[in-house]
Amino acid sequence: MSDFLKYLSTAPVLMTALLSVTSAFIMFINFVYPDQLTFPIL
Amino acid sequence: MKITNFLSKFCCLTIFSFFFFSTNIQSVNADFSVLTPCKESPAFQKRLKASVKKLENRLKLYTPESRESKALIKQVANTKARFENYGKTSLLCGKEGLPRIIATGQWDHANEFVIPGLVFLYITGWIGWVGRKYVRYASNTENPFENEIIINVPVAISIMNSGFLWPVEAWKEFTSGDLLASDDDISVSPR
Repeated sequence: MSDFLKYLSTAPVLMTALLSVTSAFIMFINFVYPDQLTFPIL
Repeated sequence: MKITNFLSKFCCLTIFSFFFFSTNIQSVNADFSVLTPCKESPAFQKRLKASVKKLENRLKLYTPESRESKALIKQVANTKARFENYGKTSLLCGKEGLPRIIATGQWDHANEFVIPGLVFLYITGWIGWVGRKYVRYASNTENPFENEIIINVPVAISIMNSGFLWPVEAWKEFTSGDLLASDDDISVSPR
C-alpha cells in the first residue's frame, strides 16, 4: 500500500491528476456559462 | 547594491511603459467612434438573424423527433442567448457586427481585458509562488532530488493552500532581500 501511495505521489502521476481536475473544472465553467467574452462583473 | 540597481531599472521600465501605453490610449480612444454598442448595432442583429436562419434551415432536414433536430433546437436557443448576453454587456461592435475587446485599460471596459488579465496574473503568480516555495522546502530536506520527483503531498497541499497572499509575501521577501539570489550564488560561465 505504501508503495502504491509512493507511486501516486510521483510528479508525472500527480501532474496528470492535477491537470485532469483543472481541465474538468474549466470545461464545467464553460458548460454552465458558455460563450463568455467579458468578466461577469460591472 | 544590486537591489538598488534592480529597483532603478524597474522604476525606469514602469515610467517608460506608463508613458508608452498612455499615449496609445489617446490615439485608440479617438477610434472608438467607429464602434457602436452591440445592442444598437444593426449588423450585430443581422448576424443573429443569419445565424438562427442557418440553423433553422438545417432543422428542416430532420424529423422533429430526431436527435439531430433536438440538438439543433438547443443550438438555436444557445445562439439567441449568446447574442442577448453580448447585447447586455458593455461590449462594442465593429461595422461588421462582431464584438470587440477593448484592451486599452480604461475602467469602463475593464471587465473585457484588465480584470481577466489581472486574474490570470494572480493565478499564474500563485502557481509559480507555491512551486518556488515547494522547491525551496525540498532543498532543505535530506534528499532534495527525491523530494522533487516523489512529491510530499501533505506538505505540497499545505503550501498550495497558503499561496493566496503571494503578492504580499513576494513584496515582503523582496524588501527583506530574500526574493532574489545574491550574485555570488549564481554561476557565470567564463567569457
